[in-house]
Amino acid sequence: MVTLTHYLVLAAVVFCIGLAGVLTRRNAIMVLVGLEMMLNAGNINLVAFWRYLGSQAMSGQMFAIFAIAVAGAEAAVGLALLIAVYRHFRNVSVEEISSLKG
Amino acid sequence: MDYVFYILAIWIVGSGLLAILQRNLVHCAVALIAFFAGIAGIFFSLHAEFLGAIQVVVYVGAIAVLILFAIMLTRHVTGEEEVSPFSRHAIWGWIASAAVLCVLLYSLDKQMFAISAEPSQITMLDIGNAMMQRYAVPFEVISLLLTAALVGAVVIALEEPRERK
Repeated sequence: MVTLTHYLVLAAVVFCIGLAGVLTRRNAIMVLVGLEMMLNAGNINLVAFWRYLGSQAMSGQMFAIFAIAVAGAEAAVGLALLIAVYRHFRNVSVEEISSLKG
Repeated sequence: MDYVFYILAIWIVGSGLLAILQRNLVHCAVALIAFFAGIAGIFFSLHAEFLGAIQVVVYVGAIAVLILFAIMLTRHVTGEEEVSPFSRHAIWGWIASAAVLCVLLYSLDKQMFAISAEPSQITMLDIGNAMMQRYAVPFEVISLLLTAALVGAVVIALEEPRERK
């Protein structure tokens, strides 16, 4: 029997995979990819709670829909920023882009 | 029906790890597409069919292609990353995320949730009605946000003119 906890554990594991991607990759695009994975983990949690905590309310699903919309906007702006950064530095490695460092 | 969840979980974790660990960025993006599709499967298994369809359209369709475009615009088409995610200075990242995972699993172990006997089930009709009635204002706000974000993305990514005459 698959319970709510199964989904929450899956979401926790996915979140930490995304976090590891954000922390270990040097390419800024891969950092954004890790970010998207973490957002997806949050969506799994929202939908699982909606499904298992009952009471015909639909806030869980609506929150997930809005989260997906915000994630889409974030991805578009983030990748546009990366392209602008690449045009300036000819590089998207998060270690090379350090002009703001004192 | 249990095995569906386990297959999806293995699929998601495996493709997620592949997406994080591969050095070739294009391979990462392909693994990411598989990951997003697996998440859509999880939504379907939770009887959130509308969200599953949205996940396929937005993530598998749009965001994955956007990421592929960004990879190809910022690297050579089959660009390899020069630093491996297993290198020495990445170890702290792995330790930190493992620690976060331990904390999350520990808190899940302590928690008891009041599971309702009757799993929620709503149809697409309910979602449409809610979008137009109860969630009408957030719906409009999110459309404004999306419009602003897309215009902003175009403005940021647009090449500035070299000289103005």
